[in-house]
Order: sequence, then structure tokens, then C-alpha cells
Amino acid sequence: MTTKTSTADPEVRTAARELVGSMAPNREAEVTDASRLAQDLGFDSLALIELMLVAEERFGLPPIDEAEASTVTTVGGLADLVAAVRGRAA
Amino acid sequence: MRVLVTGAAGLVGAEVTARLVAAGHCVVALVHRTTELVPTTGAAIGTVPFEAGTEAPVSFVRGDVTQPRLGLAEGEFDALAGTLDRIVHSAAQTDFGLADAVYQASNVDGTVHVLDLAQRGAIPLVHVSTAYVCGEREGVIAEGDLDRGQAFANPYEETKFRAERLVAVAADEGLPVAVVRPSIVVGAERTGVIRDFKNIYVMVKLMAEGKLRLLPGHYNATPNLVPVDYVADVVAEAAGERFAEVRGATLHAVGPRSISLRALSDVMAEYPSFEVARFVPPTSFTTDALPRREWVYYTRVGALYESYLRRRVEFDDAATRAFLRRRPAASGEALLRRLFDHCLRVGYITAAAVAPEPRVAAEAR
Repeated sequence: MTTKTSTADPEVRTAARELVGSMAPNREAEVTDASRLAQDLGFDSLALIELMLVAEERFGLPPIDEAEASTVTTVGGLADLVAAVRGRAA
Repeated sequence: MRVLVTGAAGLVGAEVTARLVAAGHCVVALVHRTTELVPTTGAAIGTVPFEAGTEAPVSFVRGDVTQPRLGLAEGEFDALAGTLDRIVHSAAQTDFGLADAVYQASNVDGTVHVLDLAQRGAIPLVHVSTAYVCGEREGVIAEGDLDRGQAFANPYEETKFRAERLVAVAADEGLPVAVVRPSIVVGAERTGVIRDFKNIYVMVKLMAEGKLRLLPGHYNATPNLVPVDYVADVVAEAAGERFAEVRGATLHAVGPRSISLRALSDVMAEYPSFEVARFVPPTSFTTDALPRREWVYYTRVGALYESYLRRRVEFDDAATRAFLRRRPAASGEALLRRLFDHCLRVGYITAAAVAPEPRVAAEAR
């Protein structure tokens, strides 16, 4: 099981933690870069879809495709995805 | 009697387990991960590890229906076969939108492995199927109907159909079996309570929250909903002392009348916080005009359930009524209200999609 954290900028990582924290079904769970969206924070498939939609809007990203979105399993992974999509757009 | 329940931690399995225990039977729960069983109605059921000769009301065996011998060692599998009086096979993959191989492994291979166990000990089997093995057929479906050359809406239906055919072959070879076919399983008949919000609940949530506003469907389409506790009553009664009465039978555990999308829309309109989706004929529906968010909700979620918004089907349940001597306590619009009330009570459906009114002025006062 991977517990890798993120290589994204601290600013993006902080924003990703805040975003995930505001949407996490498990309200009490602590949100760290290593938190797993499904197992630790209670995101089901619909909640994950909504997280990606809100992430697109919050970070001003072009539409994230489903295959790429499905690789994200942790909070740090979301920050990495945001950084990667921004890098491609730049 | 000692009854093995596969999928005992599942929505139907946990509810069946509670009833079998209440009727004085010993349940051996085949579980994959979870060892605490949480029925929709009533308290969690504690379990102890299964041992030969145990008198515990509920013991558990960790296994995996997708594996030969249910993932058990040869000795364990034989010992289990030698101790069981009944098997209830309620393990299945019921989530939508997964890879085909997942349904094959759980629903078809899983049934093969359960049939191996049943045949090894000539153990009477109650197989939990689905009313939607009828696939895309419309009109009235009889309890005896199975293979009518029908097409299927999704791999879930197709694999459940293939599983039922395997069960029929085993029955022809002499295995005592009964098949129970629930329709779309929803909350308890008197309270609307449900433990997991899946499938139709996700659709209703997205419609109520205004995230799916336009859908392909017919207002006279008739998805059939059945309360989970009614389904469990049928299964537990079939698996108990009255098994001989239903041996060889197929029972439609369904709502007494299907609910049209017209009725669904009307009931949703009674709730001030709910949005009401509009259905357009499938031939004139296109995803092209959907806004980005709605497009995502439709293509990722809504499209999975599209056929249930289209099919006009009724399930005959004469044999089930004759056997159970009752029908669900709530149906039609009354059932929908109970289900929706529960969704609101526990916060599953919220008005969060609608932007809150600006509060600045009020706070400034």
C-alpha cells in the first residue's frame, strides 16, 4: 500500500487538503497528504466524482478525464494531479 | 438448522442472518472482510470464528466466493459441507459501472463455487438472484420465466442471468434449490431506513439536488422497488422449515406495483427542497447540450441506470404471495415518501447543490 506524500508545491498541497477536508464524508478524520480518500475519508464513487468537479473549478483546470482522475487515491495524489495538469496547461 | 449465508455482511445478507437467528437457527456467515454484520433494521450482530460443532448463533468463516472452494482449504471446505443444513447465496456484486470481469468473478464464478459446496453435501440452496434477469424484456414477467432470448442492460443483469441458469442445471441434476428474485432493493417498509445508499439512491440524490436535470426516459417506465426487510422475509422463510414448499420454485420478491417515473416526479415535487428532473424520449436525448457538471454526472452515473428509466415492466409475484401470505407494507407513492423522508433525516440528500442565499446583508444588520 502506498503512503507516498506529494511532490507538489506546498501552496497546492495546502489547498488540496483544505478542499478535501471541506468535502470529506468522514468529518472527524484528520486530513494529511497521505490520507486515503476512500478508506480514511469515506469518499464513495459519487463523492470522488464531485471532488474532481470542484477541484477543476477551484484550481481553474481544464476538464480532468476519468482515467486520470481514477489514479488519485490520496490527498497528496490530488495535489500532484493538480500540479501535473497545471504544468501541461502552462 | 445450520445455515451458511454468503454475502452475510451485505444489505440483504445481514438482514436474512438476523431473521434466521431470530427463528432459532445457527448461521455460519461467509464474509470477505467485515466480521460484524449490520442489518438495516436492528442492532449489529456480533460473530465468533466458526469451529466445528459451534453452538454460537452466528459464527463467521472468512472466504471469497470468487475463489475455488470459496477460498477455503480443502479440509475446511469439506468440514463445512458436512455440517450445513441449508445455504443462502446472497453474495453478489451489485454496484454498477465496474469492469465486466468483476461481475463474472463475483456473480458467475461465485455461484459455481457455492454450487460446488451445495452439491458436495447435497445441501438445499436458496439462491438470491434479481428480477432483472428478465433483461430488456417488457410487459409482465412470470416467476417461471428465465431464458427468453432477452438482451441485457448491463453486465450485472447478464451475469445474474447466467448464474441463475447454472442453478437451474444443478436443480435438474437433483440439487434442492429455490430462487428468490428481488427487484431494486430499497429501505425498510415501515421506516424507509437503509444502511447503504446505492444505485437508485444515487440517481434520486442527483435529481433531487438538481445535478441531473434532463434525463432520457419514459414517464410511464416502471422501475420496481422492494423494501429490504420484505426481501429478507422471503429469503429467510424460504431457507427455513418451509423450504420443501418452495423447492424448485422461483419467487419474485418485488413491490406489488411498479412505480412510474410520472409518480416518482410527482412525489419529488412534494418536497420543497427537491429539484425535479425532466424526462425526454430517449431518441431525442443527447449529452451534447449538457453543461460540464451535468455532463459528468450523466456520463459517469446517470447513464448506468438509463435502461431503468426506459423499461415498462411488471413482475408477477403470485407464488411469492401464496408463500409469504403478505405483500410489502408500503408501496407506490407511500413507499417513496418513506424513502425520501429517511434520506432527508440522515442528510443523504441535501440542498447543497443550490447556492446558499447571500447572508451578508442579514449579518450586517
